[in-house]
Amino acid sequence: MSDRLQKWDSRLLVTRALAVLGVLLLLVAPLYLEEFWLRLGFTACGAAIGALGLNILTGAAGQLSLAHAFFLAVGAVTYSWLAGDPDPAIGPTGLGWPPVVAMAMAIVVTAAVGLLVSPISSRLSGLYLGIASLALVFIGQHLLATLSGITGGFQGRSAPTFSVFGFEFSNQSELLVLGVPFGRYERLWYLGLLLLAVSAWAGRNLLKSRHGRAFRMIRDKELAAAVSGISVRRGKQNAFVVSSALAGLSGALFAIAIGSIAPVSFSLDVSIQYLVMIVIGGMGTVTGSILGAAVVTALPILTQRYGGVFPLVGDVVSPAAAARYLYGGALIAVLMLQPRGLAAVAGLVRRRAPSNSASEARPIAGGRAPVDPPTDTDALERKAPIT
Amino acid sequence: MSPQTAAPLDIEGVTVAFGAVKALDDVSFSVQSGHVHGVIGPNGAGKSSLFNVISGVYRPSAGEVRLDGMALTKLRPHEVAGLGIGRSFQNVDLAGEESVLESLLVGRHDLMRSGVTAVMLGLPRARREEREHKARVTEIADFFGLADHLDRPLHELPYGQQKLVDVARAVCMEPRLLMLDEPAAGLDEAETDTISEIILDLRSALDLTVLLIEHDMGMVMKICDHLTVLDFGRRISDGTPSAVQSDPAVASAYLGTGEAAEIETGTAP
Repeated sequence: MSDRLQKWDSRLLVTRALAVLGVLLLLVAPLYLEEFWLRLGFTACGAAIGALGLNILTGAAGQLSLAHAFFLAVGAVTYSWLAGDPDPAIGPTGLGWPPVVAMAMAIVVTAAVGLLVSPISSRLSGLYLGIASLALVFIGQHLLATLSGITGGFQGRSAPTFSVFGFEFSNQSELLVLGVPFGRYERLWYLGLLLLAVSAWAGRNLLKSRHGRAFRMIRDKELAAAVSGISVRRGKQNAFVVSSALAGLSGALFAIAIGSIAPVSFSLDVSIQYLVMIVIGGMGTVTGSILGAAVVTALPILTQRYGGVFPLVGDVVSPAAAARYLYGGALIAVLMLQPRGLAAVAGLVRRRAPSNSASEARPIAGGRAPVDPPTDTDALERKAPIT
Repeated sequence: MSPQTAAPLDIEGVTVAFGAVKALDDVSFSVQSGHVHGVIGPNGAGKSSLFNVISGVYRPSAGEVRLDGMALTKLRPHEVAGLGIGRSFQNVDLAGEESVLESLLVGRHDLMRSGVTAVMLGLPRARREEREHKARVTEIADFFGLADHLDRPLHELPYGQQKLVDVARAVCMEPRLLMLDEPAAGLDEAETDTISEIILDLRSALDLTVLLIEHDMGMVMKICDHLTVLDFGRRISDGTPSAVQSDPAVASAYLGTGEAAEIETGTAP
């Protein structure tokens, strides 16, 4: 063990230290940052969870989906309706469930909808799946507009404040931390970080597991996957359901961040934005999902707010238009410079030195140098499959 | 589950037609348990189609394939794999970004049981399962001389070793029948000897039946117990290597009449 420690690359130590520092900074951020940033952070956390879902489906399992906005909508509506005020002054009624239960149900219901759709989705692939999934967005838009008792119709409906065991994520009750008043967005900041941390951890576990390997094998070599004992349909279904579940949570967080939901928030545009997140972040990686979601969420908002510092913005082009130019430009720049996304850029910094075994001279091309032909047949015994 | 043993394979009257073209035409033969059984024939003879029928990738229009008496022809590929048929591919059919270890673990997929929720929550039993299977895969990698490369991305390995990884992946499935599609294609002489040795070692160490497609006649003659020769989708010869070698039908179909001598040259190492 100790000699493993010695072999630790100093760069690895530095990245570990930076990671710890980063986490600490995130944890103390609400003491220093104003509401604008905290709100942006929470929104980005919610989006990152949704991007992670899409990245598992599209990045890891290779199933192109344009339906993500639909699943986000299912989560957002489920949360808003179940936790909604049963007797509001205006707008549609809700069921008045505890918000934490409503959030859990948003995950479960959206996963169930994903499961319901998966018999179709797991039989399609590539562009065909992409186009078929488009249908869900249109159906979603129609349902959002017509099921007005639940969704609020075109106007949308308000989304209830989140609370856990009586602790409200709002400005209602007073809470001082180190002399800093902790209101709605200070509290939500931690909720967002916690849920993202748990989702990222679970996502990483999944991608490292037999299921993650199956996803990638289905993506890269579908036939070889099947012949290796992987049920391709089952694998696609798993990816679809996990993706939907995470979209459900992301949708609920979106509703909480905005405080209301409306059909326009779940249009095809949104599906495409999520695809952009995973492409510029890095396909099939957890880090890529987070980085991509952060950039795509923050870039337009930041340009709108700070675009004025650039010449011409405000006079010749509006900040909103400038935001789009910058956004488009950044997108192209990332794809040209690092097609594997921001996660790959981060990976270059983080990358460890080549492992020791690789640097030892070993005759590789000559084939099987290290194996003594086992005249002794005990060398490799057949084992019963581990059960 | 008790250790499985080598299984016999029966091919009975298998016909595969693509439109008017018959890739396989009423092909029958038996593979005895524990044999290294070679399938040879010129390009387009139907060898790979035969593998695809056995694997469940193609459904034959007539005929049946049985592993140890069990019909395979109605099963889907992953179900066939689950019965104990491991297969390697002519061109390395693994994802290049994956590490060697991950490529090999793909072969364990069906032997592992943890569900999606269990792995996402990192449950102890899911972690233990992963550890146990990694240990077994490491043993197998060691056998193939790949143990030092487990963490390297597959595409970094030279082609010969990539082919070994693909064969090892099939072995990781703990198969009763191992199907190898041109394992020596693209390998040099030394590498071909290595893979030949490995195949024989595997057969005795793991109690396997091996079904082998190969163009390298030297290798085929050296390691096969039995040969089946296909030409234009039909079985034209079947028997021991020496019997097949002296079969005039093989000589004329394979090399054109009068060139039978070339097969014999192939046997000389």
